[in-house]
Amino acid sequence: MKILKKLLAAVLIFGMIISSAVSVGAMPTVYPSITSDPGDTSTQVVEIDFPFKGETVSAEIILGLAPYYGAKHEGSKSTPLFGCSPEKYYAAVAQDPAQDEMYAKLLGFFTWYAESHGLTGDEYVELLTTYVQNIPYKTVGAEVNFPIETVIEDQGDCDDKSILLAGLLARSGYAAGVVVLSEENHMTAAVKTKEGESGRSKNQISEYILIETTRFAYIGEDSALIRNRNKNRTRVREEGVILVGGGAAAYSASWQIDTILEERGQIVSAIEARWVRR
Amino acid sequence: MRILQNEIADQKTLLGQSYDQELYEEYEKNLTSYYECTATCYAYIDTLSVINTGSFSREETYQMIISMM
Repeated sequence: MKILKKLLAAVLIFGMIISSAVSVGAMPTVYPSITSDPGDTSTQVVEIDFPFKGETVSAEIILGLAPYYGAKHEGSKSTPLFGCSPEKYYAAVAQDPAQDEMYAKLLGFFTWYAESHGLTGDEYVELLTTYVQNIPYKTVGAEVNFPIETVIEDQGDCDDKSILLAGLLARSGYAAGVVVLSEENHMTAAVKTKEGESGRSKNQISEYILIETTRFAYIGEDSALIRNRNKNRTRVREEGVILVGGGAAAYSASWQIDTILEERGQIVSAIEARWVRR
Repeated sequence: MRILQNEIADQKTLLGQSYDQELYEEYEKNLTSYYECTATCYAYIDTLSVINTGSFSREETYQMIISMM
């Protein structure tokens, strides 16, 4: 009798486990999404003001606040517990269609600025990068913010700013995404690199170059957090990048930046040598 | 530089107490060396400030670096 009871209990527990597994498997995978209130017509002026190429880039852009409030709504950033694909998760945050107006207005301005100032494609990437780098750094909780929150609030931390930049680049036709640096608890944006006619291209081992977004840094420059690691840490293969769009355009001036940064290292060493010598 | 700076200050103090030709020549030599070193460092620091400031053009910064090489 005791054996029968034990057997029944085991069957019951097994049945419960199977039933839970089936119900979990049947749960739909919900990625972050913004639900806007179409009746909300409130707006906010977003001021853009940052230095670039010896000039000040400035604009006032009026954005509807309905998507912003939708992004702030509880549950909008739900993280799927099972079967979560990082690509789909970050693409959902960066590319939520409720943010179309924001991207259209921001990129409309930056495209106009680039055309009216005769910027090259590489300079356009640098323009977007400088805009995001100049957004004040502030950690606003562990949750990643939708780009519209970062733009409206004019603040963000590494993941907020990196996703915004990746979104802007992807919407501009660039192959762009974000890179998670787990050891450093850090995130950067990344853009596909097309090396120039420098000899470095022969040794090219990766396709994407990191972009630090929390402070001014050249595209591909080591951020403070990943400094002193090997130089290739600023270049990653495509499999290391969480792409947020389907663009194909690439940044091609990284070989110039390598030269600038190499010279900077030598200058710093020269100053140190003079400072400590007799 | 700091060692040189301290040495110059010490020499200046000693020369203020009593004049010594040999010490004076050493002091002058150190002073010249200090000014040269300072000028070089300032030139380097000016270049660094261009490199480290995002408001400058990457292309222009690159051309400046190339012209220095």
